[in-house]
Amino acid sequence: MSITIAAIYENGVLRPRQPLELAEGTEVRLTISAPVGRRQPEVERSLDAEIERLAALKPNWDGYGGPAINDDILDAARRFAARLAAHIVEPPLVVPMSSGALQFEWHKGRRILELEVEDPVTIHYLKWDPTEGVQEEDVFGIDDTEKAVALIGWFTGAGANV
Amino acid sequence: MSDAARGPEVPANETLSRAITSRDWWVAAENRVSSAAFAFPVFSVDVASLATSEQTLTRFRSGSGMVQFESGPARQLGFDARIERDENFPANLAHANVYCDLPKGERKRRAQQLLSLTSVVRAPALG
Repeated sequence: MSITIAAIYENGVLRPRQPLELAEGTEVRLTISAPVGRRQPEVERSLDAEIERLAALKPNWDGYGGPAINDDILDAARRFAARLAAHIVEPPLVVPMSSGALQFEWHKGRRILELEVEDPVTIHYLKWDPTEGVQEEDVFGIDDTEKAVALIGWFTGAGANV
Repeated sequence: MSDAARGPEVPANETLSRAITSRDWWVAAENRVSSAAFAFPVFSVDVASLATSEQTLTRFRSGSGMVQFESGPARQLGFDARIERDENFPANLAHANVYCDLPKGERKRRAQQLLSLTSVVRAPALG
């Protein structure tokens, strides 16, 4: 028997979005794939809220004299996040940088993905998993959604290597 | 800044303390610091033999955390620690700047490698 269902990942547990006709205790095998192109309002709201929180940071927010997050970078990050939200299963941390930039970070064990909105047109990324020999760092244009989606897919294990 | 214009090198056997002053620099789910605390051309530390953890942390927000790493191994990765004046806290005589002279396209990788050398002295408890 093989069926395809939608599920949501919360607090370390996959919860089906509809009832399953399975006997209690039935063991199943899962193949997980990320939703493609489907709006995820909760992810959008979460990213928006995090970006707005960083927008409110005052100069010297880090105690080391760091500037407020750059307005142009914030605008670019909002647009970038809006395009990506439909492809994000695990919301990232949204992290301020002492340079006035911000980055989206995903962490799972030693696997790390960083997408830094370095300037309004550039994403500086790190794709990192030393246990698999992956230590890739490079830049791409902020409008290259396909590249960003592929990197997120790599992190979640839902996409091909890029 | 050119090498000649920098202050004296921090000896290789010294321990360096970096305060974690933002909750966003702490990955709580993984109990570790984010590379965002290190991925810069230059960042501030204190030399641990010249200032206790408490002395360093009193300059920052209550609840700030701290990580430490050794100067020598960090220098081998490209992080050059130099004793220099603390522009934000001129009375702090334990201050050093850590310069990362690597091309921008290597900084994130090196920051991750530096993270592997750090130990957590105190996890931040920032609101």
